[in-house]
Amino acid sequence: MLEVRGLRKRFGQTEALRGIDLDLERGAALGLIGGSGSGKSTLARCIARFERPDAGEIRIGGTAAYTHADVQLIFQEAAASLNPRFTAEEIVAEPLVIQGRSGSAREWLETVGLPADSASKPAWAFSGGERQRLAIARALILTPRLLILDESFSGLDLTLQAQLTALLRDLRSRLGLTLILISHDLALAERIADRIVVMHEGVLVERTHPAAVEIENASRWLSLRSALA
Amino acid sequence: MADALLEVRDLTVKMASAGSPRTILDGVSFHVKHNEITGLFGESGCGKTTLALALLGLLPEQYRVRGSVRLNGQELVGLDERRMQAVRGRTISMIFQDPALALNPVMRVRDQLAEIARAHRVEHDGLALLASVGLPNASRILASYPHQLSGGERQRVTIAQALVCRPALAIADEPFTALDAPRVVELARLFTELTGTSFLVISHSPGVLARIAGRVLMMQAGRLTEEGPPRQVFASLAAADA
Amino acid sequence: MRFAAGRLLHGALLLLAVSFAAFAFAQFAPGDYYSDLAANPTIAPETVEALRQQAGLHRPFLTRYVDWLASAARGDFGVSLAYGGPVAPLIAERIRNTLLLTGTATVVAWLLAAPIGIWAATRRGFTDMALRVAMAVLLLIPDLLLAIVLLAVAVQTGWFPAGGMQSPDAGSMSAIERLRDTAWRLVLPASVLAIGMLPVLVRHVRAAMQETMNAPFALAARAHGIPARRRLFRHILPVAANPLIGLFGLSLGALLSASLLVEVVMGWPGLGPFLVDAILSRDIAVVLSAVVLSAAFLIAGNTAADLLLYRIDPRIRRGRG
Repeated sequence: MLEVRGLRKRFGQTEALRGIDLDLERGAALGLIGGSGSGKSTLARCIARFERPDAGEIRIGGTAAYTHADVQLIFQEAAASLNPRFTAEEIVAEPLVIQGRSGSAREWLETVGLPADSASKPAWAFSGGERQRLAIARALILTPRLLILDESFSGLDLTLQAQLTALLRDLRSRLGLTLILISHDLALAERIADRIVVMHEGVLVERTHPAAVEIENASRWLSLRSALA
Repeated sequence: MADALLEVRDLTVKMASAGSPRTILDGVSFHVKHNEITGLFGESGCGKTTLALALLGLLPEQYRVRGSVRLNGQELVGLDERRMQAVRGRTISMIFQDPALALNPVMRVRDQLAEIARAHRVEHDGLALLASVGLPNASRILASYPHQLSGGERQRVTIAQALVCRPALAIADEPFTALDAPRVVELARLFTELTGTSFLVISHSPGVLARIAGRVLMMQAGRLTEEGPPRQVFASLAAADA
Repeated sequence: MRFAAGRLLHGALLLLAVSFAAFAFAQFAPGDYYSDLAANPTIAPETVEALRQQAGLHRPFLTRYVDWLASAARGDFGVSLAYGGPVAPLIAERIRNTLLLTGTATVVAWLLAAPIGIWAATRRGFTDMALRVAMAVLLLIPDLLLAIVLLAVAVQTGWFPAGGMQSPDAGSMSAIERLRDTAWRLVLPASVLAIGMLPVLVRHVRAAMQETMNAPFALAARAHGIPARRRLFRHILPVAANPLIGLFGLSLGALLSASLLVEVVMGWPGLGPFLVDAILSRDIAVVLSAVVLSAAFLIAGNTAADLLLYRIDPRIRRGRG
């Protein structure tokens, strides 16, 4: 469903992407791991059409002419980027208005586990975790083919992470969502993704690459179970 | 507890608000010993940062603090500002959560360290201090302004600031949040290497605390619900961490 | 020093643009210096036309502009039709007087506003409110009203002279006496200008200080045990100064406008009254020169503020992100 070929992107002196090739089948969930500065966010933004690559091709569903409605990107602290004065319904329905499509914001609120009567509550009245759900609902209302989450769960506490992880798994099975989860947290990614790829300095590396190994070792060292074993 | 460095008893913090006052911390009691790393674990909103600020007497006026906080036997609750100034940074210090914001943007690093030494009239060696927090050959860093440093360097500088006077206790507020796994490991190792100072490390990441803390305090909704070795405190969490 | 060169070039280009605009506006104003004469039925049209030709007012717009520009570059600002002599020396003296007045007022205003604003930032509750009310009241008083009131007081009490920069017998005074005389006469007009500026400055100083005092690094400094006074002056003030330097540059424009009014009302022989007369009589060379020189003063002030900011705030210089 997603095909990336030879993607390159440079910002001034720095080469953020140095030739990326990637394939993703429909309904699959990919975990993209890498340290800060590895280029993972740049890749996400290129796929979601927020950046134009210098070279290479991205195809979704066989075509390079896809739109924002086909790929949605959820950032870290998406909850903080919601206009606090808008109601839940307004926030979730906004993409419909922009794209001139019809749909039901309330249905989506329910789908992400928010009570239907919270539709007219302003955003500031929701907790952090609930707002993250709002962001997900808003991303899904256009029924995109691909959903990219860029560090969306990092920095959240465990209960919240667990809830949102469960939500994602549920949405995947119900809607056949294709997912890319970008994270520096290997353990978290492994919980959601079928497949993990590692990015380092602008290229995808083998799991045996020192950078990937470092990340994996560090994650293992930090995992609760191994620490308490 | 005779040899406790920090002894907190029934610490209660309420915030005056329209209507009845809100309780942020409810009868928190614990102790911290010399030269150990104590973890403070809890989810966002449970009061961890409020606790840290309360220990340092940094809560704004609307907050009413009751209870007892004894540092090396000295009672800190109710201490007037001038005496508190002598204690802050000298015997107990804090490493704030966002290094980019916690550093003065128009002051060079060497001055930001020197100011603290000057305030408490202690000797300090900038290069040695930065080396001890993992920044060797740091003359470039000493001469730099915060915006010229990388995120990691900035964080190390804020740690160095907290250690200028070699305090008995340093509180680190969520130092691991913005870091990726390999950097977390590096920083975790640094804390274990900085002997001579006790650390109270606030984090919502149980994996890290399990690795470096001798004891963990678990907070929920303003109360201390559990206390003990990581294995004991995190047992239920580990089971769920499938 | 590429930054400085850039700023100077920017200023020069701006000045050029202002001079062109001023010239163009003067051109579009109906009539010219000789229009009044032309309206006089006793003077023959041919005489007026001859006068016009003599003054060179018949030549095309661009020719006149370029000529003027070339002369100005040489320091020759044209000839005043009203005074019948070169503009340059006339303006030079007037500008000097205006700079003396506005310079003094600025220094006094900032010297007052800085401590008041800093002090206000540390206060809460009643004192804070009282100060805000006082500043609001000052803000409400129009400069004109203040000038007239002070003049009235001066005349009634005889404490201050009611106008002019020098006493009539200045010629027979020694240098020191003349200085004292001028200083004394400076008090009233400078006070009007300073009082006019004060509320805005105090408000901005207070706001800048408060905002900085609430920043995380200020709390961190307190957490490190830095004493309050040291924090205020060594840690907080340098950061709060940033927006204030920008304010300084911006306030120069308002100051110039206010000074024009005050000079006319209080009889201070600066650029103000001179310019007003020249505009009314369409003495083109004078108007042009006065406008361009005022603009130059304004641009210089803002450029100075920019350069000062560059020196003071390390974030503006190029550094690693």
